[in-house]
Amino acid sequence: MEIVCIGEIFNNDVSGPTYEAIYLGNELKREYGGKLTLIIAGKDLEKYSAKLSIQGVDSIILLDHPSLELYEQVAYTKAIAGEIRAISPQIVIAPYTSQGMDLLPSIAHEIGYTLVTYCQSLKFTGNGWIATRVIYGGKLLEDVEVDDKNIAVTIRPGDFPQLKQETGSTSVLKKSPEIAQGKMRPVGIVKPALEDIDITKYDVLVSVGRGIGSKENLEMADELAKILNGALACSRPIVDMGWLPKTRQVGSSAKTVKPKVYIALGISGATNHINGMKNSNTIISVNKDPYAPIFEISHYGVVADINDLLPLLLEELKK
Amino acid sequence: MDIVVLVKATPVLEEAKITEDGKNLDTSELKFFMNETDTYALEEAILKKEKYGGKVTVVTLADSEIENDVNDMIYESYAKGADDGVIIEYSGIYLDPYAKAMIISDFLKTIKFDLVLLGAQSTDTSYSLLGQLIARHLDLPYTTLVSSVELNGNMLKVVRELEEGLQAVYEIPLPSLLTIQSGINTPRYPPFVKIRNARSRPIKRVSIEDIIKDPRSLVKVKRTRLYIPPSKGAANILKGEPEELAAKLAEIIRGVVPR
Repeated sequence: MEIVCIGEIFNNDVSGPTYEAIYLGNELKREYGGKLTLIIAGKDLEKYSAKLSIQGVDSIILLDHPSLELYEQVAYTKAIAGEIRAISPQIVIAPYTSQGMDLLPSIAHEIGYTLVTYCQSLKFTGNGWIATRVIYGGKLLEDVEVDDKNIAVTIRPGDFPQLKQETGSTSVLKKSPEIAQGKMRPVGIVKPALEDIDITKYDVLVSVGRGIGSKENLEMADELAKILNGALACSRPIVDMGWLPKTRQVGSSAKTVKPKVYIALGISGATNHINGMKNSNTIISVNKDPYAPIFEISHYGVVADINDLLPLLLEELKK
Repeated sequence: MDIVVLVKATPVLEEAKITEDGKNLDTSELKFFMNETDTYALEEAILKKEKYGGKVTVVTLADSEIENDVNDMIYESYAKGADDGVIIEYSGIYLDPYAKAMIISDFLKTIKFDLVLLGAQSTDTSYSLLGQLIARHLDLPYTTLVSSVELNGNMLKVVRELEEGLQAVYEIPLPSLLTIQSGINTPRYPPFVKIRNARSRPIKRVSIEDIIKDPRSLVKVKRTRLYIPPSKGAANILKGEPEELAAKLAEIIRGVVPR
């Protein structure tokens, strides 16, 4: 079985989820045999060759061109799709990242493969594929059947290990692809400068989610954080509502944290959030929904409305 | 600027119930509302209309089984400032993102627009695929995860949200398609009286068979099983009365918090 993984360079490094795509590619290789090719597009890629020459990768194609420095979907689609066509793999795997979720639908359309996004596991049936997908924010799984021998998939970052055992023996092919001109133009990458505390530096984080109910209730959570010498953090909806600045957001699209204690208050546990905090030493969650996915990765859980529980908890801790 | 907003009614789900065939969600007791990121897409369309003029058309593809909730979603959109609402209805069939994208693309060919907006991801199936496929079908430039949109003449300057707080800036001409990330704006809540008044306004209804003869033939991804993930059972769930819970929790916190 020919397997292609599409890697990515993010913030001047190979992205972590690239290794997860390779991990899944390797699992399929072990199960069904074959060859794994890694394709990466960008600029000045040779410096990443050693990092990419990891166990299980048979060959690497670096699509290197100054015009590919910034991700732009049309140029990336044409360049990568051209290589995929030449290999004609049975499966193309990419991480579901900001780049992957934008690019893979376009590549799949270009090469005529069926795309299944957000996959957790895959089985080849001989005539097609069965993929397991995570839906409803992790509350449900679905098995889907694709009657097509050729598929493209994206995987959720955080579902697979990131193994980085370098071998240095992988064949690396550098190419300068033709650049397709799209109607869109990348202008640049920016990092908004925000002055705030650095939540990654705290041993204790008290993190609030939608279940906090109102902005006024943040005060109680802040008080809890202060009692524990910790900081107040949050999940995405709190930032979306403008209750806390982006600097306090935990998640793969914001800050990844690993405190000694993470107290999640009214956070249901969307994938993005869980990936940003699941490696905390002790996770304590309070949520009124007993089916909230956050409980799956917590060490201690309380099913309660945080606004009922918090005043009592504060009282106890002040004793 | 005429803007089409693609919206989806998604359920609020606590305990999931699966139908007897083991393939579908039992929706009989669920209430459906506009998908969260779609509410931001709609708000962005209305803000742009207020600034530059034009029309906002809300389009949804929905199972007639949830007709009442879908109607409410459109009326609420009217109350917020949408001009027209279209429901493309289907009944008793399973549609994957491929079929949905083809149906919506074919419908969009029949109307005039400068920009298509939709939420970056739905809270139910989380495919994040529909907008991209529609854009490719209609040969529109697209980008995803948009957290800011500015219009300069015929050119949009958009900001995409990346990982780790980074952002990418792009210029993209009209007509085009953008998938919108939550937090781009603050969606308005229309007063109840406005929603009530909106209920007298017409909704355009289209049957998918009017658009595509055999929608089943477009389905490439078929669900064979729907199930609750096996619990890893990690969490020690504390039980008791509220005061008791607070005391237990305080004890645990004292035990793990460094001094």
